[in-house]
Amino acid sequence: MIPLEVITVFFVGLFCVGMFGMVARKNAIFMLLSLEIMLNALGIFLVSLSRQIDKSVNGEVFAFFVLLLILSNSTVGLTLLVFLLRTCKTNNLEDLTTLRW
Amino acid sequence: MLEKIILLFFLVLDIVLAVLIVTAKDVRRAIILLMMFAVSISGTYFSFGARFLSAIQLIIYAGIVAFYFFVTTTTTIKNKPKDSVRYIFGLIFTGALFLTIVTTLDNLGKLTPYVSNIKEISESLFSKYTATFGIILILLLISTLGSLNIIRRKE
Repeated sequence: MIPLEVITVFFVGLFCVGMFGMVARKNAIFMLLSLEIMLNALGIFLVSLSRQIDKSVNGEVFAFFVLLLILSNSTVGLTLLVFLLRTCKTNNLEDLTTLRW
Repeated sequence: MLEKIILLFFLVLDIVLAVLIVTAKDVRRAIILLMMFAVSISGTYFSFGARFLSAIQLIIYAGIVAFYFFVTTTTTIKNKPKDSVRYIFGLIFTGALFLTIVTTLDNLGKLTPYVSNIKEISESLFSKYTATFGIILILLLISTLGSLNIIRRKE
Protein backbone atom coordinates (compact mmCIF):
# COMPACT_ATOMS: atom_id res chain seq x y z
CA MET A 1 0.00 0.00 0.00
CA ILE A 2 0.92 3.66 -0.06
CA PRO A 3 3.36 4.84 2.64
CA LEU A 4 1.88 7.15 5.22
CA GLU A 5 4.38 9.90 4.40
CA VAL A 6 2.63 10.52 1.08
CA ILE A 7 -0.74 10.93 2.79
CA THR A 8 0.84 13.20 5.41
CA VAL A 9 2.38 15.41 2.73
CA PHE A 10 -1.03 15.74 1.07
CA PHE A 11 -2.67 16.49 4.44
CA VAL A 12 -0.13 19.20 5.25
CA GLY A 13 -0.57 20.63 1.74
CA LEU A 14 -4.37 20.86 2.12
CA PHE A 15 -4.03 22.37 5.59
CA CYS A 16 -1.55 24.96 4.31
CA VAL A 17 -3.85 25.88 1.42
CA GLY A 18 -6.64 26.50 3.94
CA MET A 19 -4.33 28.54 6.15
CA PHE A 20 -3.25 30.59 3.11
CA GLY A 21 -6.91 31.36 2.47
CA MET A 22 -7.36 32.49 6.06
CA VAL A 23 -4.36 34.81 5.82
CA ALA A 24 -4.76 36.17 2.29
CA ARG A 25 -8.49 36.75 1.82
CA LYS A 26 -10.45 39.46 3.63
CA ASN A 27 -13.92 38.35 2.56
CA ALA A 28 -15.75 36.56 5.38
CA ILE A 29 -17.20 33.82 3.14
CA PHE A 30 -13.76 32.90 1.83
CA MET A 31 -12.49 32.64 5.41
CA LEU A 32 -15.33 30.22 6.24
CA LEU A 33 -14.54 28.18 3.12
CA SER A 34 -10.84 27.96 4.09
CA LEU A 35 -11.86 26.82 7.59
CA GLU A 36 -13.87 24.01 5.98
CA ILE A 37 -10.87 23.00 3.85
CA MET A 38 -8.68 22.79 6.96
CA LEU A 39 -11.20 20.70 8.92
CA ASN A 40 -11.74 18.31 5.98
CA ALA A 41 -7.97 17.78 5.76
CA LEU A 42 -8.01 16.90 9.45
CA GLY A 43 -10.69 14.27 8.85
CA ILE A 44 -8.67 12.60 6.08
CA PHE A 45 -5.60 12.51 8.32
CA LEU A 46 -7.54 10.98 11.23
CA VAL A 47 -8.86 8.16 9.03
CA SER A 48 -5.42 7.39 7.56
CA LEU A 49 -3.78 7.40 11.02
CA SER A 50 -6.33 4.97 12.42
CA ARG A 51 -5.71 2.72 9.41
CA GLN A 52 -1.99 2.71 10.14
CA ILE A 53 -1.86 2.38 13.94
CA ASP A 54 -4.51 -0.29 14.50
CA LYS A 55 -7.18 -1.70 12.26
CA SER A 56 -9.96 -0.04 14.20
CA VAL A 57 -12.73 2.47 13.50
CA ASN A 58 -11.72 5.01 16.16
CA GLY A 59 -10.36 7.43 13.58
CA GLU A 60 -13.57 7.21 11.59
CA VAL A 61 -15.66 7.97 14.66
CA PHE A 62 -13.56 11.06 15.36
CA ALA A 63 -13.74 12.12 11.70
CA PHE A 64 -17.54 11.86 12.07
CA PHE A 65 -17.32 14.20 15.07
CA VAL A 66 -15.20 16.58 12.99
CA LEU A 67 -17.93 16.54 10.31
CA LEU A 68 -20.54 17.51 12.90
CA LEU A 69 -18.19 20.29 14.06
CA ILE A 70 -18.00 21.57 10.45
CA LEU A 71 -21.79 21.63 10.36
CA SER A 72 -22.24 23.69 13.54
CA ASN A 73 -19.31 25.92 12.58
CA SER A 74 -20.75 26.86 9.19
CA THR A 75 -24.22 27.39 10.72
CA VAL A 76 -22.99 29.91 13.28
CA GLY A 77 -20.54 31.55 10.87
CA LEU A 78 -23.06 32.12 8.11
CA THR A 79 -25.65 33.40 10.57
CA LEU A 80 -23.15 35.93 11.93
CA LEU A 81 -22.34 36.90 8.33
CA VAL A 82 -26.00 37.55 7.53
CA PHE A 83 -26.30 39.59 10.74
CA LEU A 84 -23.21 41.64 9.80
CA LEU A 85 -24.51 42.26 6.29
CA ARG A 86 -27.82 43.41 7.73
CA THR A 87 -26.45 45.75 10.40
CA CYS A 88 -23.07 46.98 9.14
CA LYS A 89 -23.66 46.59 5.35
CA THR A 90 -20.24 45.05 4.80
CA ASN A 91 -18.59 41.67 4.50
CA ASN A 92 -15.04 42.92 4.71
CA LEU A 93 -13.68 41.98 8.11
CA GLU A 94 -11.27 44.91 8.18
CA ASP A 95 -14.12 47.44 8.11
CA LEU A 96 -15.60 46.15 11.34
CA THR A 97 -13.99 48.34 13.95
CA THR A 98 -16.90 48.87 16.30
CA LEU A 99 -15.84 46.34 18.94
CA ARG A 100 -12.11 46.77 18.49
CA TRP A 101 -11.35 49.08 21.42
CA MET B 1 -2.50 -1.14 -8.00
CA LEU B 2 -5.75 0.37 -9.21
CA GLU B 3 -6.73 1.32 -5.62
CA LYS B 4 -3.44 3.21 -5.23
CA ILE B 5 -4.01 5.13 -8.45
CA ILE B 6 -7.58 6.04 -7.46
CA LEU B 7 -6.49 7.18 -3.97
CA LEU B 8 -3.68 9.33 -5.38
CA PHE B 9 -6.05 10.78 -8.00
CA PHE B 10 -8.53 11.84 -5.32
CA LEU B 11 -5.77 13.30 -3.11
CA VAL B 12 -4.40 15.40 -6.00
CA LEU B 13 -7.94 16.47 -6.93
CA ASP B 14 -8.50 17.65 -3.32
CA ILE B 15 -5.43 19.87 -3.44
CA VAL B 16 -6.30 21.30 -6.89
CA LEU B 17 -9.88 22.09 -5.91
CA ALA B 18 -8.77 23.65 -2.61
CA VAL B 19 -6.34 25.95 -4.45
CA LEU B 20 -9.09 26.89 -6.91
CA ILE B 21 -11.50 27.68 -4.04
CA VAL B 22 -9.01 29.86 -2.18
CA THR B 23 -7.98 31.85 -5.27
CA ALA B 24 -11.45 32.17 -6.84
CA LYS B 25 -12.61 35.63 -7.90
CA ASP B 26 -16.33 35.19 -7.44
CA VAL B 27 -18.08 33.87 -4.33
CA ARG B 28 -20.61 31.78 -6.25
CA ARG B 29 -17.90 30.07 -8.28
CA ALA B 30 -16.12 29.26 -5.02
CA ILE B 31 -19.27 27.64 -3.65
CA ILE B 32 -19.75 25.46 -6.75
CA LEU B 33 -16.10 24.45 -6.36
CA LEU B 34 -16.83 23.67 -2.69
CA MET B 35 -19.51 21.23 -3.85
CA MET B 36 -16.97 19.46 -6.08
CA PHE B 37 -14.47 19.52 -3.22
CA ALA B 38 -16.96 17.77 -0.94
CA VAL B 39 -17.54 15.04 -3.55
CA SER B 40 -13.79 14.63 -3.93
CA ILE B 41 -13.30 14.33 -0.15
CA SER B 42 -16.05 11.73 -0.13
CA GLY B 43 -14.21 9.78 -2.82
CA THR B 44 -11.05 9.95 -0.73
CA TYR B 45 -12.88 8.47 2.26
CA PHE B 46 -14.33 5.75 0.03
CA SER B 47 -10.92 4.75 -1.28
CA PHE B 48 -9.64 4.57 2.30
CA GLY B 49 -12.38 2.00 2.97
CA ALA B 50 -14.48 4.33 5.13
CA ARG B 51 -17.78 3.92 3.32
CA PHE B 52 -20.04 5.17 6.10
CA LEU B 53 -18.08 8.42 6.33
CA SER B 54 -18.22 9.02 2.57
CA ALA B 55 -22.02 8.75 2.62
CA ILE B 56 -22.30 11.02 5.67
CA GLN B 57 -19.99 13.56 3.99
CA LEU B 58 -22.29 13.79 0.96
CA ILE B 59 -25.42 14.12 3.14
CA ILE B 60 -23.97 16.86 5.36
CA TYR B 61 -22.47 18.83 2.48
CA ALA B 62 -25.79 18.86 0.62
CA GLY B 63 -27.17 20.95 3.50
CA ILE B 64 -24.09 23.14 3.87
CA VAL B 65 -23.87 24.01 0.15
CA ALA B 66 -27.61 24.80 0.06
CA PHE B 67 -27.13 27.13 3.03
CA TYR B 68 -24.19 28.88 1.35
CA PHE B 69 -26.21 29.34 -1.85
CA PHE B 70 -29.11 30.76 0.16
CA VAL B 71 -26.87 33.28 1.91
CA THR B 72 -25.01 34.42 -1.21
CA THR B 73 -28.05 34.75 -3.46
CA THR B 74 -30.23 36.67 -1.02
CA THR B 75 -27.58 39.20 0.00
CA THR B 76 -25.44 41.57 -2.01
CA ILE B 77 -21.78 40.80 -1.52
CA LYS B 78 -19.11 43.18 -2.69
CA ASN B 79 -15.84 41.82 -3.99
CA LYS B 80 -12.79 43.78 -2.99
CA PRO B 81 -9.68 43.85 -5.21
CA LYS B 82 -6.89 41.52 -4.19
CA ASP B 83 -4.29 42.70 -1.72
CA SER B 84 -0.92 41.54 -3.03
CA VAL B 85 0.95 42.24 0.22
CA ARG B 86 -1.33 39.82 2.05
CA TYR B 87 -0.85 37.24 -0.73
CA ILE B 88 2.93 37.40 -0.49
CA PHE B 89 2.86 37.28 3.31
CA GLY B 90 0.49 34.31 3.27
CA LEU B 91 2.60 32.45 0.70
CA ILE B 92 5.78 32.92 2.76
CA PHE B 93 4.05 31.95 6.03
CA THR B 94 2.30 28.82 4.79
CA GLY B 95 5.25 27.77 2.62
CA ALA B 96 7.51 27.92 5.67
CA LEU B 97 5.02 25.84 7.67
CA PHE B 98 4.72 23.27 4.85
CA LEU B 99 8.47 22.92 4.40
CA THR B 100 9.05 22.67 8.17
CA ILE B 101 6.59 19.81 8.60
CA VAL B 102 7.50 17.96 5.39
CA THR B 103 11.26 18.02 5.92
CA THR B 104 10.97 16.68 9.47
CA LEU B 105 8.85 13.66 8.48
CA ASP B 106 10.37 10.39 9.54
CA ASN B 107 9.54 6.82 8.67
CA LEU B 108 5.85 6.52 9.55
CA GLY B 109 5.06 3.04 8.23
CA LYS B 110 2.57 1.88 5.65
CA LEU B 111 -1.16 2.02 5.37
CA THR B 112 -2.92 -1.28 5.92
CA PRO B 113 -5.97 -1.89 3.76
CA TYR B 114 -9.12 -2.26 5.83
CA VAL B 115 -12.80 -1.83 5.04
CA SER B 116 -14.94 -0.86 8.01
CA ASN B 117 -18.58 -1.76 8.46
CA ILE B 118 -21.39 0.16 10.10
CA LYS B 119 -21.79 -2.40 12.91
CA GLU B 120 -18.36 -1.65 14.35
CA ILE B 121 -18.86 2.09 14.00
CA SER B 122 -22.21 2.05 15.77
CA GLU B 123 -20.91 -0.19 18.55
CA SER B 124 -18.00 2.16 19.08
CA LEU B 125 -20.22 5.23 18.87
CA PHE B 126 -22.82 4.06 21.36
CA SER B 127 -20.62 2.25 23.88
CA LYS B 128 -17.14 3.73 23.99
CA TYR B 129 -17.79 7.31 22.85
CA THR B 130 -21.32 7.90 24.11
CA ALA B 131 -20.33 10.91 26.23
CA THR B 132 -18.47 12.56 23.33
CA PHE B 133 -21.42 11.95 21.03
CA GLY B 134 -23.79 13.51 23.55
CA ILE B 135 -21.55 16.56 23.95
CA ILE B 136 -21.41 17.01 20.18
CA LEU B 137 -25.20 16.74 19.96
CA ILE B 138 -25.58 19.41 22.67
CA LEU B 139 -23.14 21.57 20.69
CA LEU B 140 -25.29 21.20 17.55
CA LEU B 141 -28.44 22.11 19.51
CA ILE B 142 -26.76 25.16 21.03
CA SER B 143 -25.46 26.35 17.65
CA THR B 144 -28.95 26.03 16.13
CA LEU B 145 -30.61 27.92 18.98
CA GLY B 146 -27.86 30.55 19.05
CA SER B 147 -28.09 31.24 15.32
CA LEU B 148 -31.88 31.54 15.58
CA ASN B 149 -31.46 33.94 18.48
CA ILE B 150 -28.96 36.05 16.55
CA ILE B 151 -31.00 36.26 13.36
CA ARG B 152 -34.37 37.23 14.87
CA ARG B 153 -32.96 40.21 16.74
CA LYS B 154 -33.75 43.59 15.14
CA GLU B 155 -30.72 45.93 15.01
